[in-house]
Amino acid sequence: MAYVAVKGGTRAIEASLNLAQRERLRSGGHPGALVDQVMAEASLYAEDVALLAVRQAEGSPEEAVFLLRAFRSTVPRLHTTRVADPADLWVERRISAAFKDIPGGQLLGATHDYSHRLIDFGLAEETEESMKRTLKSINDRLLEEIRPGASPPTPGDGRYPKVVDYLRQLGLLPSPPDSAEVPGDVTKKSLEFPTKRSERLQILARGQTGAVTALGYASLRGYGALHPTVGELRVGLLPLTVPAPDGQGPEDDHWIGEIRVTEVETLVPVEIPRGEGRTELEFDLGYGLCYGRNETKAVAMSLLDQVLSSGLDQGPLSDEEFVLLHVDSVEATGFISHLKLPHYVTFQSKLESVRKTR
Amino acid sequence: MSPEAATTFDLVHDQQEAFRGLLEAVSFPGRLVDLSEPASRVAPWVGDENPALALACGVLVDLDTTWTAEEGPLARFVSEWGGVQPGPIEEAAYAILPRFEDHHLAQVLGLVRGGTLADPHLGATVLVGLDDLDVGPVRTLRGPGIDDSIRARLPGGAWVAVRNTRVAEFPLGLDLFFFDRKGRVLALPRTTWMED
Repeated sequence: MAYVAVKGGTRAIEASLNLAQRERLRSGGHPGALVDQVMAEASLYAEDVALLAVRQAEGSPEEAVFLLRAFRSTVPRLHTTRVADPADLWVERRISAAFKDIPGGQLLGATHDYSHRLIDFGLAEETEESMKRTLKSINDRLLEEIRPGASPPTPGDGRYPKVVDYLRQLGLLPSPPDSAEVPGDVTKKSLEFPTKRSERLQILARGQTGAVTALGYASLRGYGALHPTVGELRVGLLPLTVPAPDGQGPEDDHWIGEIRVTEVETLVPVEIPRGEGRTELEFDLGYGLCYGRNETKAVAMSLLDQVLSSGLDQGPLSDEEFVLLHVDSVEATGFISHLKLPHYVTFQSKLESVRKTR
Repeated sequence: MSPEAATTFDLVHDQQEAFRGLLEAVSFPGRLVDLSEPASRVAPWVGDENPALALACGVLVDLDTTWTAEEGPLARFVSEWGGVQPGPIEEAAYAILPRFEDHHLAQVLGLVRGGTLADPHLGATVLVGLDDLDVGPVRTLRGPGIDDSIRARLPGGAWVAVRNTRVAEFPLGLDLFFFDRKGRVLALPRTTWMED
């Protein structure tokens, strides 16, 4: 089953495809999506180093992730940022599958979702000069869209209200309890079961894209929530700050830059027993967030988060050991690859056993 | 720390070079690995202290690291560099001894953590400064990373028995690095078998 039937306004889609093309040309044809994937799976936001890893690995994601993880282990931790609130995201793309008209409106941004998936053979003839020309032409076309008197493309400072907050205001989604619990760090402490939600989210956020997507797909096909709805998917830049050494509070913080993230909040209808055989339908929330643009992974992550956090037995995906111990790129590819190492002695021993049974 | 030194030491490349040197040393136990070049660029910051040891501390200690060292110029350097204060020896990931002293090292090796079966990587790393890795009784080392055996000169004797006891139950144990004044490092990981 392959979906390509995504519909929308023609002009918006055209602008979106132009933006996607512009992103490709601005990066000089670098494999941006692959770099994003490698940074997420390596848990290190460093675009330049990730690009080097991708080049060194000849485009192999597993090898590039391994290189970047190894580099990460040598980098000193000098500061810890303040907790970043994704509500502060400078939104580049934002859609909702739950409501057509969401406060602030939908913003398609740069995406390939609406393309026809036809190979552009023109790229074979592309030169640096032609890339510059095409980029200029796209920029000119986009500037024409911004006519004097037109409403600004983003409200205010690029921040949008969140769809789930709207649902919470209507009383349709319970608010999470405030928690002062410090999140665990799975990169410093081995995972112990049962896990905390913060640990599950970290493992899923650095999980191998293919593995997280496959398990998320399984959850849709009957091993989890039957048909959740993407309440909101956002791609944007998240500003990060560190406390000033002699600062009096957050207003004195130093801004150290921003990271591009994909954030997904999925709504899952669940039946809550109310006694005497009665049940009420409520929405549960699944959360996904990963470095860079990686929408499929973030959606799949939100599905797995909901299944693992629900506490319900919904088959293998409810088993956190099954999910969390098998989605890590370095661990999975490393263990599979070790089968290529010499096993001469163990194999001879098995061979001997086989011979004895004949 | 002199401004001159701050401009010559490259926080990225010198640290990476030193880290790779430590990695080589621990990969080939008993081999002397030269860190003198990046260590010379740290020397102006640490007065009379062992520059190679100071360099290694700067590479390994950061905001999230636990470490311990006796009060002195090297401890102050590590605090300033890593931005974190020393803690109790029983909780330290790194124990730093600026000057080799046989019985003191034996005592430290008896106190530092050796990891748990679930988390053997929590075993401590002990960093020791000494004058010259060409001086001292000859020891024979065997184990992973060593082609049959290798001979290394390491002073003292009391610490050897304690160390061998602490590494007897692999994967539990502790790892040792020795740094001399010539800018060389020798590693003695827990996997190395050393004759007393």
